[in-house]
Amino acid sequence: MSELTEKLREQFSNEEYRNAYAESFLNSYVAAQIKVLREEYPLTQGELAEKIGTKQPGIARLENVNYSAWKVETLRKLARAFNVRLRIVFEEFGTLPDEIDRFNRRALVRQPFHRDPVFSPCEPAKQGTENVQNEAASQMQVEPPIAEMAKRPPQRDEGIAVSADSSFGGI
Amino acid sequence: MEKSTRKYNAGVILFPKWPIYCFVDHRENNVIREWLKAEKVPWTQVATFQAKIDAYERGGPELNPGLIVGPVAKNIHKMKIKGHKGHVQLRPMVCFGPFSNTEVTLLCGAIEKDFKLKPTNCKEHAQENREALLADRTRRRRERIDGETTRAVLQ
Repeated sequence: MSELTEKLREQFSNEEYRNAYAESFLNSYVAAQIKVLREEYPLTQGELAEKIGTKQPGIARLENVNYSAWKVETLRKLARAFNVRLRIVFEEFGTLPDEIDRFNRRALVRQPFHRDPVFSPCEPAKQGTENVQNEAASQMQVEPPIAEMAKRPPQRDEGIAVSADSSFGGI
Repeated sequence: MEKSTRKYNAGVILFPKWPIYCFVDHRENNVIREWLKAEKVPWTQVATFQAKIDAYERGGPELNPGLIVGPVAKNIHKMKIKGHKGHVQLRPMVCFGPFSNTEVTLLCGAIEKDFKLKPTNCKEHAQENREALLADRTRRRRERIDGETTRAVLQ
């Protein structure tokens, strides 16, 4: 059990407290992930704004940890701009301490489709290889994406994970 | 050197990469906790504030855009905590460091109303507290603002 879980155990017995805490962290998480995905792509705030049909200050607002008025349609547009999928899930409060403990850049990065190791293009292995050399060559063609997957940090989900732990109020 | 068996490593508490400290007064009271109690800040607002601190301690400034803004005075910045469902806008005064560039110290409490900080002397007060901390580095503690004493008054 994490140190944070221990500290939150007593506070979370208060319904108002746990809802406010979870909503506050959700706002931070969404802002941080939008910023990280934009920087990884890489895009400036102005370029991203153009892609989703808004202005640069609109992106600056979305990247503010105190912002909570995002719309699902805006998040969908952002997902398309980043070439990832949007995922909205409800979660138990029990998953929150672990999520906070793993709140770092690496955990927020998602690969755009063209760099997604699962779907990255690779030539199909030749069927009916007649000798070992051909077989070895076909295996080598499969290796790069597998190697990339091994390098990839462990990820629980893809796309922008909007964890509406307490309510749909903020979405 | 003896190798770790990992048998006793489970309970190790990791120190955050971006610690946030609270300034303590002459009587060793946490000034942020005292301010929250004096202002009767709603418990949900304390939760919002604590969540921002927990996120910052793990993600640092890069993953918390818009949380610490300024400077509002020399070496002084303000932390922005949005009012939860129309509650008061918390703007505690902070400084980066002052002993390491990965740490932040909450120096005193303030709120913002009609684009004005209250109390009006909060920036000067923050600077005084920073000076006191530079002179005596024991004048701060890393502890949660939603601790037992705060809860007993505000919940």
